[in-house]
Amino acid sequence: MKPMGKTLAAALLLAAFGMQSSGAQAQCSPTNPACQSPQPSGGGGSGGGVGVKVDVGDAAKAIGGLFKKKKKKPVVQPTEVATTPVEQPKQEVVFVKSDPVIQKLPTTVRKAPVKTAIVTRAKPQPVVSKPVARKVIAPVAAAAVVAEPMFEPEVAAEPVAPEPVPVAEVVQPSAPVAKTATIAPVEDAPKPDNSLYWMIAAGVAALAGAGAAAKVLFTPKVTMDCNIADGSSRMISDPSLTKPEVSFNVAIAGFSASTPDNFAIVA
Amino acid sequence: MNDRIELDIEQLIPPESFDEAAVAARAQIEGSGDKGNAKWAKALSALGGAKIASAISEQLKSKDLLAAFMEGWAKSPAFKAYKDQSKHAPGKPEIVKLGSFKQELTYNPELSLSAAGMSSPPIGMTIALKAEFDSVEVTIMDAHLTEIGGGSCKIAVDFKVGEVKLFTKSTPLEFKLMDRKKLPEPGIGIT
Repeated sequence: MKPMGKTLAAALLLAAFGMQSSGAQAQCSPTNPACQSPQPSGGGGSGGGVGVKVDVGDAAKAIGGLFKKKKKKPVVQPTEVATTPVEQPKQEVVFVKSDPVIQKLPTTVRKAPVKTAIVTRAKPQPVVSKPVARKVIAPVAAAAVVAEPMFEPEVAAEPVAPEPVPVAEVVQPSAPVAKTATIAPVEDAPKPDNSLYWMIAAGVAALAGAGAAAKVLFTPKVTMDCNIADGSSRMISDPSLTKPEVSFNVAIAGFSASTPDNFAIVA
Repeated sequence: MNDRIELDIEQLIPPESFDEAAVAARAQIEGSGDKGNAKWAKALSALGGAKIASAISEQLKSKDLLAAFMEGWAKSPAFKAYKDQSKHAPGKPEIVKLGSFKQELTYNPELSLSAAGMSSPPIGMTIALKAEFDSVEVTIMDAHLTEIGGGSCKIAVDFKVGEVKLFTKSTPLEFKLMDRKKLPEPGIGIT
């Protein structure tokens, strides 16, 4: 469809020139610069000029129209234009230049649309190639972003585990903090000194490992919990203790009857 | 309408008032400033008002409320003449009828908790019984109130824990004193 369209447009253009040339030939004179034969160097086999006078405005419109139609195609389907060798604008330019009728046009008229056509054809090619490049690059970039955190823990986890020094750090944010928060009556018990607390933890961790340190951290809280004799179910959780009996007593601290008002013997 | 004056405190004080009493008692302990009492305060909440009501009720049942009211009567000037043995022969009972009168009986139970050999600080409570007697008959002998019978009484109650009033109004319980009730020997002496 496209090559056919271009050929048809070129044929129509030539036909238009031919129709005009029949009427314009009598007006040509040696003094008229428009009728002067253009330079033969453009060369097709026909050699000398046909001696036609072409209306510059009509020719420009015709050529412009030709290329306007061609402009729409790369806009609508830029990939097809880029991939189809038949649509290359260079072929059109060669065809136009080689035409003897076009050769006779003034230089400005001949070159302007052709240059425009070359420029417009040349520009879409790199533009079309960009989205193709994006499609390839974009997923690669996204994969790189996702891949970074996936590989980081694997690399970071390896050196942390075997080293003995971070053991205290592992113990520090562990369960004791959360468990003491759930024990409500801790308010009665004296709070441990944090510095001494962590010194002991670090010392035990160095000697016996993180498990022993965690036990030390737990022990004071368990003891404090067990000292609360409030009859709650939490106390029973320690098998070494029995639930204390809580008795509720009422003692008579005072018992007094007032002297009655209007007290009288009636009979 | 009851014909006995064995008073059950739960008949006078709504059960929910004892729950409020538990809360007030806890606040009283916590307000003492002694942090060591926190566990007792918590235990009070765990026990709840039902335990308090039960303990008070048991105490009231063990006490002869009518006799307690009569101790107030024995202080009245109206009975002082019965101390004169020249006018009132010894060993001879005399029955008198009283008119309508009001009287208040204040009862101060102290609540405390004990566990594992420790006791909580006492929590002071006040139960004020407000009674209206009408046409009650009393037997007097040897300057003592020895028997009561007849007539009626209505009893309402005020209930406080510390200075917190928990219950101030009540539909009075009404008792008909149909049977004569003899007090333990020698009875309540007139003062």
